[in-house]
Amino acid sequence: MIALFINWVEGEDTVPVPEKDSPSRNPGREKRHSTKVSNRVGSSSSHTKELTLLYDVLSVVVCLTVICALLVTVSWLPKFGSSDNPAENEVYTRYVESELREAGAVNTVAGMILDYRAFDTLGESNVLFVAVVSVIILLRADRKGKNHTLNLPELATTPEEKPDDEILRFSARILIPAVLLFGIYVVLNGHLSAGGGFSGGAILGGAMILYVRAFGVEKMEKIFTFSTYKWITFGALMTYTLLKTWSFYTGANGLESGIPLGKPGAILSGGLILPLNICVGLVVACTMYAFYSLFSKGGFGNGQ
Amino acid sequence: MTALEWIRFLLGALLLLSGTFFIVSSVVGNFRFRYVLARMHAAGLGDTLGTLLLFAGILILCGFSVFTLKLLLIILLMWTTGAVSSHLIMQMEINSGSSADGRKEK
Repeated sequence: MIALFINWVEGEDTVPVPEKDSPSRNPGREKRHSTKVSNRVGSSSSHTKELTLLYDVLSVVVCLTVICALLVTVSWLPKFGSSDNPAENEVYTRYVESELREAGAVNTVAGMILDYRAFDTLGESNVLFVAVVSVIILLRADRKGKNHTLNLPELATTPEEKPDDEILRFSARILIPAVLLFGIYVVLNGHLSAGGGFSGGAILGGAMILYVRAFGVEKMEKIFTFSTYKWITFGALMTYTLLKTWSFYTGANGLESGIPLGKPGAILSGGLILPLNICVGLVVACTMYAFYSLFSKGGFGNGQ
Repeated sequence: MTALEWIRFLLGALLLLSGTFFIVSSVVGNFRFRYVLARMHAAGLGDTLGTLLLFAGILILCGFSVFTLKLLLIILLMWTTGAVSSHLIMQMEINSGSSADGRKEK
């Protein structure tokens, strides 16, 4: 019964095999055979039939076993919110109690990743930068569009994306302002609500990828080239490093550093968290766009 | 329940059920069709009509609030992006001519 259902969903019984010499460009050609599952199984040898049956039964058994094991595991988890959970320790209490006083961010997570553990976040931003640098070393094409490191001829001969799609351009014209606005909102409100540099930067990078896909490389090159990428990433990482150097130099851990924390809940509050969020957002957005353009074209545009 | 509430409940339930029907048929079509464009047709159907009917059902059942305004925004976004992305994938298939179908013919 289950094997019959699986076969039916897999569609092995009725959908015809398109002819080899003329690939079916025409969906209307897809006429249905009236072959039933029993015919298919009957026509094959008994060996294959047993194997197919074994495979179907085994897949169902394995799925059920995994589902049961996971459900049993979940039922043994400690009760949510109970006071003797392992997660309920002094670290969590310390963060929740004194984060607002020491870091000044309403969003406790932002205070953790950009104040207490800012060094860790700096490492993450640098990982993104190093990843782009590695991809540039491997994939970047030279001025003639040739790639020397990996000898990938297909990179050079990739057909130029023709941005002549009116449907895509129309919807991009509607979407890109909204997406950019939303990304900037997420970055700037990282210390007040859920969000921050990483998620907002990803949204901004998505908007840039949509722009270059809809309007072409030439238009993107007017505002964003390889040197723009270099300077934005360098500037953001350098600003981050300098700001946090000052913060660590003055003692960190909520000691007085000369940077006003502001009134909690205001947009200009949280001390260094807002500028650090902006830096991280810039790095993430540039990284996403760089990956897209490097993997699709082997560079940031025609003139690199 | 008053008659008006009954009408609202039945309308919402009808919309929810038809939305579920469209999404289920889109999933089945995704698996059963062999040709790329036919499968994309099924996928796009679930993306647009299925979500529209589901969200319209929730909208009617929950009444007017900030939450349902956000649902309207989601419908707008799905109708702008889902249809365009199916269009782009189909354009790619037509341009490249190679089979983007994972299940090769025997």
